[in-house]
Amino acid sequence: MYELNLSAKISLNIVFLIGIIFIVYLIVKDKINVEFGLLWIFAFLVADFVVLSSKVLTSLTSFIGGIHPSAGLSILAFAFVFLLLIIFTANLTDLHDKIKRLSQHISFLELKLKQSEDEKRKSNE
Amino acid sequence: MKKKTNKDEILVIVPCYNEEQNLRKVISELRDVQKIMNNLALFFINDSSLDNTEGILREEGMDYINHPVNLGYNYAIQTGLKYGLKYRFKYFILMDGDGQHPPSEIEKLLNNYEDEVDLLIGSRFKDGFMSTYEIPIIRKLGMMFFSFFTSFLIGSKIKDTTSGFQMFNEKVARAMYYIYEAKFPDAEAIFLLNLLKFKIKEVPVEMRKRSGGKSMISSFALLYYPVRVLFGLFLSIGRFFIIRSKIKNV
Repeated sequence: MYELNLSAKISLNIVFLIGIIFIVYLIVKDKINVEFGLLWIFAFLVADFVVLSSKVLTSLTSFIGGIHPSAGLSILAFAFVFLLLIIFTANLTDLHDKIKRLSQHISFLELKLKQSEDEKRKSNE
Repeated sequence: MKKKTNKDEILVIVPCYNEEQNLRKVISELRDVQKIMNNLALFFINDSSLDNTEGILREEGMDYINHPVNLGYNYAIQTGLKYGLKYRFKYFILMDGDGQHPPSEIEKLLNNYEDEVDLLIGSRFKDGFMSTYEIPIIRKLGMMFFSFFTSFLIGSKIKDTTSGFQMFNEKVARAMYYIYEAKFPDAEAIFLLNLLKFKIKEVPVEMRKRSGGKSMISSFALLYYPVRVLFGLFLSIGRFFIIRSKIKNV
């Protein structure tokens, strides 16, 4: 079984660190909300833990039938991306439903306004 | 704009999207029908049209509602149903604003609507799938497939599962309100209403080809439609329990 060498561990750590700094920057700038930001930071920290702990990474790699630790890392990344996509899809559906409700509500308010304006005009006549 | 509260009135729900080419004719024909049947109330849903649909509805003095954004055919119907249920209409008629459903055929729906029927579908097919107008062969084959499949599922013959020309009562309208959460609830709606123990009947009606404007259903949707309907039928079993509990709670 292979293990990640030191230079790979250092470069991956730099990538994760840049990732965390970028996510924090986006949260501060209100570009992503805190919940999603925390999810990303949590994912980076888990990945970092796996990279630093050789035993966990080799166990994960052998569990999926891989030889090289990069296979274990890739599976971890794929799993996270899939999870995130499912969460995003659910959120998108929820947003779609909210927009629909809001639009219908606005429509009915507009109708009510029209009706009361008509009634007012008629009573003035 | 007048408030509708008459319980004996029948609400005709007409969803419209970019129908400026067809709308005046539809309105004029509907007015002719209203002269014969004075218990008919018209309600148009302008699904955020980009053309002068709203202008025509305003000029003609129609009762209408505007969607601030385009929500699609199913939600336009849902808005109409919401309006009808709010003002306690007893019966509902769905028809398209593109002129494909001749308003003169409303009389056929009314004459064939019996007390024991909950949903009456205006079918474009008479004997053996002979249509009142020419339908492209691929589309016709699809319609035939869904007709056989839906008929098999509900245990009675329904020829036109895709017809949007329908008449139903208040109970069905409540169920339809939830059913129309789905994008193409044609066969799914029939299957679900049958599961909910509603009586469904079909009556042959004349239908016309769209003379102008663009269909609310895109060409991509025509490819997506069969997959979506089959999946919808599969999901119906789960949705049945949800809709049943929602109707009970109303």
